[in-house]
Amino acid sequence: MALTGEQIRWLLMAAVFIAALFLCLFFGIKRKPKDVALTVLCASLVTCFLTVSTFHSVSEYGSGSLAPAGEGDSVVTLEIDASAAGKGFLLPPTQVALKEGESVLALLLRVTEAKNLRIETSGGYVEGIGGLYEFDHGDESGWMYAVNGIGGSVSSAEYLPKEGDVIRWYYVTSYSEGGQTP
Amino acid sequence: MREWHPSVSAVLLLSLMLLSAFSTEPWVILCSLAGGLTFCAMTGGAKNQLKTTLFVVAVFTVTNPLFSHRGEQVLFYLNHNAVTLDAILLGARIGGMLAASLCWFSAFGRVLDTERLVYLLGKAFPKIAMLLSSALRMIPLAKRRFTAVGEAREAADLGGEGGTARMRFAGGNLSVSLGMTLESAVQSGNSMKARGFGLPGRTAYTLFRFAPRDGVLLAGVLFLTVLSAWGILFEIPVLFICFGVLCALPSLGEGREKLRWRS
Repeated sequence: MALTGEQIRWLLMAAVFIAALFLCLFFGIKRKPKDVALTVLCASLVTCFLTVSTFHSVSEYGSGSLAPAGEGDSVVTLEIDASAAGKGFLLPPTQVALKEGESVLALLLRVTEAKNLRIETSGGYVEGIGGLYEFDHGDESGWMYAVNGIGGSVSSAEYLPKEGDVIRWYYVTSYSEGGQTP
Repeated sequence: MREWHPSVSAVLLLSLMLLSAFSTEPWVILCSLAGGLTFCAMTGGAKNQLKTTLFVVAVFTVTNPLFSHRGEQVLFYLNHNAVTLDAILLGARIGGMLAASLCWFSAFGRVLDTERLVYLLGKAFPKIAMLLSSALRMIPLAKRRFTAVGEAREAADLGGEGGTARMRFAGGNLSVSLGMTLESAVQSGNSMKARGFGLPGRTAYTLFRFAPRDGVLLAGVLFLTVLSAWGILFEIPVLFICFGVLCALPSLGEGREKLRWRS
């Protein structure tokens, strides 16, 4: 199994090259020159795309460990709870430094990237964390957040937490019931 | 399939076309593709269909992981987006679904040719049937006429080299073809009137008779379709067998004739 991102890139480029070669031989340069030209064009476009893209393997993903909270930083507690889906805590309650003017969503993005957790958002809405996505456990399942025990009523991109807040992201299987008691 | 009454073939192939496009279960897709490709092998055109199938499956297998990052098993990260094994497999299944539907679509086109289609429509919508049969005849006829006129004028040394000469030649071809088309249309109208088209008491010759065997077949097809649809929509694995039988029916129908008429 290829372990580094660079090896994956070369593997994919080799696969594209072999496929293009096979197709060109299958079409035949004299028999169907237009198809051969089209294949070469497509292969070169794909190769360009592969060259400029960044590849990370599973173990390389993530910018590294989270910087510990220093003196004078505002500190909040962040936790990501997936126990409703049977996966326990993706992030146990952790003290993280809060940056100036950072929203709940921005904090979540920063911490998940540092902690090597996959996250997918669309605008201010979190679709999935760590491979657990909305609607994976029913039509009403998804991610919600609560600050100091109170469910968030505004978009997570708009809520600005203060020092000492306890921010909890939790997965619910039924948002109509989960909204009341986080 | 060509022995059967057109309504039976139409119902069978339509239901297969629609049902194949609704489920991403691997077994359903495989059954559908197997049945469709076997039928295409028996009626001709299997190579093209196979190429289309492979192309569609390849396209969706490669593009789905680029758009969907859901899934548990991550293979690697491309531009900070996860490429998961689940997304690749789902892409393959979606491609298979689409390819199967296309396969049955082409089978429909091959079994239900103009004659059968016009017969089926003629019962319910006679005017549309007439328009359809005229239009479907006129277009290939116009093409042939245009080619013939071009060849005749070329032989009469009216063609030339150079841009303007060629344009004049093409323009002349068009004008002659158009004149011939209009004249033949007027002639057709006159001949239809002379043969009493539109007079009361005139019946059409029906080539297809609805035999008891066709009744049994139609009932069976409808029954299997309902069961398969139920199974596919509510995901009951047992009823997938009904769908498998439905997929095998066209090949069985075609195979029976092949066995009978083998040289």
